[in-house]
Amino acid sequence: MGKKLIAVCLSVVLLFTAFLGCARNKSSLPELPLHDRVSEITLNPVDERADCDTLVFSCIDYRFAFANQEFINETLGLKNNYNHISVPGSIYNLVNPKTQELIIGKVTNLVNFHLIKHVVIIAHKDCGAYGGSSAFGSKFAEQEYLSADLRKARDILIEKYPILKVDLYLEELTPSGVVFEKV
Amino acid sequence: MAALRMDRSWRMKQIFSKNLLIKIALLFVVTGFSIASNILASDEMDEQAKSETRRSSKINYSSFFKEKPKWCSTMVINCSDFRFSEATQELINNTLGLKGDYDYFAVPGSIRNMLDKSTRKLVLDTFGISVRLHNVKRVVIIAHQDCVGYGGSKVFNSEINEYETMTKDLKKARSLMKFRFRHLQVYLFYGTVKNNGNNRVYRFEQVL
Repeated sequence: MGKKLIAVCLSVVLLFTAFLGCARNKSSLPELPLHDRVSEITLNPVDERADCDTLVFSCIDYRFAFANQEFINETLGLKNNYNHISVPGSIYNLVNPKTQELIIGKVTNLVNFHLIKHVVIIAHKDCGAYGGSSAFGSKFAEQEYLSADLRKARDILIEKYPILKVDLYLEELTPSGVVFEKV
Repeated sequence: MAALRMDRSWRMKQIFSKNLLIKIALLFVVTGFSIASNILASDEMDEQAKSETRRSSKINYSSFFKEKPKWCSTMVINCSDFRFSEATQELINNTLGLKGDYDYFAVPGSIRNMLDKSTRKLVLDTFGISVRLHNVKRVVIIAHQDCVGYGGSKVFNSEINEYETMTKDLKKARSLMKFRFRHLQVYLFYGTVKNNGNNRVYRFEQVL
């Protein structure tokens, strides 16, 4: 009886430790610096507009995310005046027939609701959706392939909506910053 | 003799215990000091690092080649709406302090397509690209008022009704994410706007 009791106690303790181990937060990530549940941000929009006519297509990549925001806000001067769709491998989704339908559905939705006339497409080199830079072989081949895909995406969009004006950009990461190049 | 022995042993014990007490006290003091200095030092370091990162508006791009060539900590899923673009950028870059360390997803109706059964697999696969390639450990999902993906505010009866359905959907999205990618920490935000004179006040509430 005593041995059985010990076994039962041990198993119960083991179960509890298992539960505790599962519940413990093992990740080494620091918590987000949130002091309050509610964080308020006040902005003073100078040129306020009720509608917007630009759509930006870009990739999700973390190396380019902030550079994209700066480029759009300051260089193109589209602050607070653009809809942003960013999906992994920006144009790869438009060219790929598997996901084309969903993306075009999104674009129609936006065109109908927000009356879009101008589209900016930004692709970047060393994209994970294409398999990185190594998938192309050489730098020149990568440039050619990406610009061909960009043009194909433009053709697809213009075929669907002839009024759209489409700008194409290709960006590259260098140790000093991100370089944008118009195609 | 016996009394003497007792006396000696008692004295020995006394001395021994005194020594022990002193030793233990010394140990406590030393460990306390070391811990306190450690904590203070790390705090200072953290503050310095934070202030530096907040002060510098530019990202050190060469670090992407050396320190972390293929990973980032966070994935942000946001709606594509233009009214919230600047405010969400402010929230992510400055309030949460994640500058240059996040994958930025922007999809119309942020999580609407994930909740739809027909497109759920496709959308989760695209999120999986980020998890697979960049080893993401944390997700920040931001939804907002008057979302076009849902058909605007007019679909809902009242503001409270809208808030309730949106928070319910956000929680559903969190459970879906947790089910597919076990290790992720999920943070949910719901944004609203109010006009206050010339300023616009964006209010982001964390949904627990």
